[in-house]
Amino acid sequence: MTDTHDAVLANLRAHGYVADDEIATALYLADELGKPLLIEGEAGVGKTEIARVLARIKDTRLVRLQCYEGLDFNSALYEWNYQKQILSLRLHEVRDRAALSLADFYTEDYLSYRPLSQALLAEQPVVLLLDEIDRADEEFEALLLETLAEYQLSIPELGTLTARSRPTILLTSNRTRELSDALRRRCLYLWLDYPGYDKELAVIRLKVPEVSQSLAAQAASLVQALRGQQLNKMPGLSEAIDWTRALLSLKVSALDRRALETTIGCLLKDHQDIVRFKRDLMLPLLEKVAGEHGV
Amino acid sequence: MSTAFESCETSVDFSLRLFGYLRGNGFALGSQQTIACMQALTRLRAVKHAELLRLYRLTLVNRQEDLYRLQRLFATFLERYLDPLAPPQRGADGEAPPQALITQRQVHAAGEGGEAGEDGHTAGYSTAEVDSSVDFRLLEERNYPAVIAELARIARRYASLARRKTHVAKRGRHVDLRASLRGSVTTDGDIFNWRYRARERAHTRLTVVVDVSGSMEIYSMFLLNLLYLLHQNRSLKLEVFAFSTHLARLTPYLRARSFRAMLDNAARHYHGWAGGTRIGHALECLNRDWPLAVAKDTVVSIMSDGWDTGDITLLEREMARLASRARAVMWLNPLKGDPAYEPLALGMATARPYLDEFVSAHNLASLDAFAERLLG
Repeated sequence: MTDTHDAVLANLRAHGYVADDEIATALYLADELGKPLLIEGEAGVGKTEIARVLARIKDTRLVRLQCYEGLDFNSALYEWNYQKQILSLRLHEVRDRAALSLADFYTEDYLSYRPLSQALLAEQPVVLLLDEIDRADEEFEALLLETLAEYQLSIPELGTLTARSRPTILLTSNRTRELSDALRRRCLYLWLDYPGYDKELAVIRLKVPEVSQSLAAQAASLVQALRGQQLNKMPGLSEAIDWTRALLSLKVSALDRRALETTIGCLLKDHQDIVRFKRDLMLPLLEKVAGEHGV
Repeated sequence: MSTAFESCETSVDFSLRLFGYLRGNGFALGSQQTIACMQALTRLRAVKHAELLRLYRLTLVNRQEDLYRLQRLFATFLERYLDPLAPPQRGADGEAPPQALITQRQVHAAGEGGEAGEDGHTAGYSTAEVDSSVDFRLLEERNYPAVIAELARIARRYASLARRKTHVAKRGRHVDLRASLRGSVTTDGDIFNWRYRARERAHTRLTVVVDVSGSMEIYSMFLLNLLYLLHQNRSLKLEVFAFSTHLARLTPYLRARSFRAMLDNAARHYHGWAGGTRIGHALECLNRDWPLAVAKDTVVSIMSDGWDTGDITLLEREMARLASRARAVMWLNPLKGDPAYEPLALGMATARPYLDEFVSAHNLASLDAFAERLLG
């Protein structure tokens, strides 16, 4: 496509993120079209990491809002600082008894900014990450629509605050709940799947540079094989990286039964899976890996 | 076959035609998406087919389930576009031609029976009244569309449940300064009566465990259909599990575009349809593996005839656990429709003491009453 697009790709790589064309195009378009980017995918495939890397590439601040059930606009958008309002009212009463109107207490001085308004009002364009948006309530989603589509914020007492600079907005979702169509329509959509062997290997080599080529290859193919099994909780990329680090710190040079048994907790996070792995899967998978890499 | 168009203009032309084709095949494309797609296209001057597909994936689709379908429709349409001699546009897989621009929502609103039949006309359920007291087992197959339409009507009745997050209250965890200050007007700005914000009571969480074993198949299909239709109401906190010999969570599949698609998807991942019944084991799985499906405000409904081929002491233990965790446990037993029925099946007799409600679910009227009990 264009040079800019390739530049995004190279940039991502330089900042420690192994990306494919789709991710690069998505980030490029999110910037170019000024649309939020909704990233969905299984846990641990690097959704949040994209935002972190993007902030580093643009050399700007990452404003992050971790969503949770019950999150409301007071902690996401803005809040009137009631305490300050009352205090200054009392101060005015004591000091000068000047004629004050209500409007004097609803100015920007009395606003407490929360992540969304912070991002909109920042002088430099920032990267705004709404992490795990599926955890927030549907009401909160509706609240976001204005900000996502118009880059503005309506405060009844003040009027509309328009963004001083256009933040790059990224939303991530683990799909624990279906997001509304209204929200989806306003976003570009990026689905991150579990990586294939080559990408997995590249990520492991990049994130754990001390690991030997052969061990990284074995680790990658074991994780790949594991994802082919029926498990309750699939290991993601981050688990694969953690596991490789664990292998490295235990000074394992080649995968064997002992190494696997002691470190499997890094890969599988479900008791049933671990039991099943130790009972049925470990030896066949080890054999398979050994067959592929000639250990 | 070439892998790129000659110019960006061709890409634009192709895309515009593709939008119509996608809409004809049930994609709900809004203008926001198509505009974004066009902007992306012209900025990047994409001509390669792979690049175009990547753009479509980013801009046109907004859920993962549609990605694969988009890819398939794209390939079909591209082939046709490159070869103008091919017969004129028809929907993929011989579906209706795109002149029938029915959006997804309309199809859903009309229920399953609203879709056009193979010979072009719709099933004539609108005039046929169906007797709501007829046992599903005795129902003739040609009446199914009418029953499903009736289920859709029941589901629609409970579609709009207003709910707000918090409200002013005399007691609560968080002080509501706004309300407290407003209250302090009468006392000259000194706050005597603090006001709080309390959570508005969300409507009940529902967890439904459906027996899909052989003996229950007909009843569970209609119940699942009702649950599928209820789930179209997105604010409902509904979890659905199916069990026969083992338990499986069906909630993710409720999202499918039609009930049939939901069953297809579920069947692909769950291999227990029409098997034997092990209620105790299923409830054990529910209690152990899905702790979040049952909270203290959850009403758990279990549909089964109570013929258990598993361990009875296990069933008793798990029923006790379930009853202590849930707000209420309801049992739907289609056999209860028979006036002479007594809960003699061992499983049923064991479970009976732990139930808050014991109702039948053998005909439309009883399913209606069930929905009313849960959501009314």
